[in-house]
Amino acid sequence: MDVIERPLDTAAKRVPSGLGLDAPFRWLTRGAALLVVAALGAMLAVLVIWSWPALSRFGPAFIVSGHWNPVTEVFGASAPIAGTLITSAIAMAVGAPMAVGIAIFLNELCPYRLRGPLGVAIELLAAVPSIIYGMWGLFVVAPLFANHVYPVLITWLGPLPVVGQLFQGPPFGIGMLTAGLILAVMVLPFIASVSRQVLASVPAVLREAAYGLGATKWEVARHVLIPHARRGLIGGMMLGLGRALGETMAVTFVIGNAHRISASLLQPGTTISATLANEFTEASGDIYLSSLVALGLILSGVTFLVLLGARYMLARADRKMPT
Amino acid sequence: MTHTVTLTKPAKVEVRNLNFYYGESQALKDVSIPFQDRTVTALIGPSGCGKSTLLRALNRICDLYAGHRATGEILLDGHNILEEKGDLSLLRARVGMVFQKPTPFPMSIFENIAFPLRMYRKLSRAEIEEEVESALRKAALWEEVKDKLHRSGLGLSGGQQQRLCIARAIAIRPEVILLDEPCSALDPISTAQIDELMWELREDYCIVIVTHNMQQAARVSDYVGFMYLGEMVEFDTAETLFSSPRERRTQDYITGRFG
Amino acid sequence: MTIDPRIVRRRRLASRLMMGLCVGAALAALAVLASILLKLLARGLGALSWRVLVEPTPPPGSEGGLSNAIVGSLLMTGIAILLATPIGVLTGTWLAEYARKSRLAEVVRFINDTLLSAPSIIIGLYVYVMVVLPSGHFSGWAGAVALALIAIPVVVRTTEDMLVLVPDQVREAAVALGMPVWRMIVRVTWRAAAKGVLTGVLLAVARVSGETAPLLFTALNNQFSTWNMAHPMPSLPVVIFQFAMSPYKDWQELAWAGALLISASVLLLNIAARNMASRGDR
Repeated sequence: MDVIERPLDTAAKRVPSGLGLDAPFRWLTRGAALLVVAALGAMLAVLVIWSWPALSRFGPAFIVSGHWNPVTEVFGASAPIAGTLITSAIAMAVGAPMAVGIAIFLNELCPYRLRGPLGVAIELLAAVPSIIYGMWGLFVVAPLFANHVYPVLITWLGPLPVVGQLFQGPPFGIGMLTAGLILAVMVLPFIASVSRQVLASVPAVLREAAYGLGATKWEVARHVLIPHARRGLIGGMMLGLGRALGETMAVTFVIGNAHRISASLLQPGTTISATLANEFTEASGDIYLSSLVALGLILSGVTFLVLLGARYMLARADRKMPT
Repeated sequence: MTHTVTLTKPAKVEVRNLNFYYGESQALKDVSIPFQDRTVTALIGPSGCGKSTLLRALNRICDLYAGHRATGEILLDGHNILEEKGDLSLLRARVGMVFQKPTPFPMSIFENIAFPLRMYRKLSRAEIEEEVESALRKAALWEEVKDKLHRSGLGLSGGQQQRLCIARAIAIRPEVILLDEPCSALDPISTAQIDELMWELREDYCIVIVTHNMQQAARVSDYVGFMYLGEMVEFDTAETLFSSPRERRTQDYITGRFG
Repeated sequence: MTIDPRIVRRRRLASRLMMGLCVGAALAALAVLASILLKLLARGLGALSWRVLVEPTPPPGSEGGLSNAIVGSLLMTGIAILLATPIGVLTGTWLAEYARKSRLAEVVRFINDTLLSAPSIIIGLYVYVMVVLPSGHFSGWAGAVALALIAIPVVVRTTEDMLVLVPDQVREAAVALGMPVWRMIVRVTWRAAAKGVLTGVLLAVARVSGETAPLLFTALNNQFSTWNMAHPMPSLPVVIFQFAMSPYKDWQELAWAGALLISASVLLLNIAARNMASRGDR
């Protein structure tokens, strides 16, 4: 057995033919891997170096200030940052519970024969290119919302104290809410897919024990399946959040691209990615370009942290419970 | 079965001519067996003989999975549970189950028992505490956990977890308790504790236990059913079945010639 | 036990309500998918004709097609995949065959996962700085590089996942026959994992061919047909973006035709990859 215990390449060194290529092949694959490392390293360097002029010039005001003026070359990014956070928050608030609901439906309720096809259909939602979501949002959702949804929200929720602030203004049909809801649809399949996996990994006896006590489907889901799978579920949600934060095209179509923060969710706004998509090619002047790259740096940083969290939660979910 | 077994008490559950199919394959063939009240009945037999299938039909937990079919009758107090349509939770409240592996829910020890309690009765906090304590005492677990009721049930040892599951099952005061090889994952000391517990619970419940362990069956049961290849080969008092089995197959099995 | 029937009834009702909501969520998701597909078919089929495939993009108000965008998309996607496949497969091979659990392998895996989920617009920004600025102009090459950067992590991931599935006994058996390691990898483990890797490449093509954001500031766009990768190059997604956001009806029509083409090919690629993966299971 000693051959098996040794690394494969030392075992092979006893064999004469074609050996000359072993080291080059190994270095070729290693080189490819290092190229991948270099790509990310360079990306980080590019983002930091190129955003430095803007960040050093504006300081904390870059994040706090809402003043974004290419003419006077004063840039404060609070509007796109807030837009990114708000649209992603809407996406998660709507998309995450829906996705878990879909996972419960597919795993617990759906007739066996339909589980496969319906699961594939939900996953196909993830395959639809984001630009198609954008067009669908602009040509289907926005008119529908402008005519039937926004007016209702404005009439019924607008007059309420505090909450009413969120539902003010003319019903354009495009804005933060529309963008957030389209993002919700886009993150749905990712979260649902992870949720299905982690819910399915709950040991069958645990489900049987709960049903065996006479628990209802909802009680089994609420008290046994979801608590047991919670780390994985949170990991899946963070994965979805990572996508929502960085999504560009679908948002660009329906957010209205207005550089301002308004209290109302029904008004146009912008996000980091939409600002980049709209302004990058037109950016004249180093400080303008640098400010846009700085936006990109902020987006990358936030997305990275969220995905790090997702990895952590999912890795911990992988560890099986002691039984 | 031409031989008649003398029953000392009325049958709580009576299985009559039960046939059970998974898809095309038949798992139970014309099985008939009575389970008396306040009695422990053990089901023994080699793996795949259908004893677990029979047990899982008694509270219809098998309904969680598609692709099976049953004919015949399972009478619980004279009422055929195979005809039960729709919601089975009331049936399962009457027929509790304990599994091969301990199955504490991902919640505190206290909640593990309070959760099923709240499903059937409206109880005040004090009443729930009382019921939880009484269930844990009956399961001989109270002394070990009374100071850590609000810690996770997952932190207990295997034997403690299994007794927690028994406490959970008896908290809702079922009439029948099904035990599916409850000690196969436990050490000998925990097994002895559970055996003792079963002996006490026998005063109040109709208990059906599936076991691989012949000694356990002999120790705890009043009646024993020996199953082989989906058939109920022999049913008798534990004493008779283990000392003078009528069937050759039973004898071969209990003397360890196969299985 | 005395069971309180009101509690049982209330629990059943609550369960039905919540399960109803779960069914509702699934139906809503399916309705969205149906709405997208129907809208694509309704608007796209009407706008689709031979002209779309053979004529280049028109100025507003005149007739034309999307041929230049289709050519651009095919070129850039093709080159991106040609760049990404070898790099991705080799990296995946290094991870699965050589490095395994080493510290450096963990770093590469982590970086690969980070790239896999990096916002695609950031990739565009990066390639702009690294390729477009030094060369002084937007180009098809820049677009292809950006797309390759998106495809590489997908290929790395699937290659490694597939190679890991090959049992070590197979490797040992091959080496024991006197094969050098590189030949063992090429002839035995690559062959065993080929179907899975091809699935990964197909998924990468599907992912890349719908990407818009990374092309916006790399390949930009071009009204004219070009095969020259050194020039700014049109692509279906970017043209769709430009035309759909425009106020011109005929441009919007072309955008729908393009949207149908893109969606159909992306969905077909996904289904093909799925089929291949499930056949590989057997």
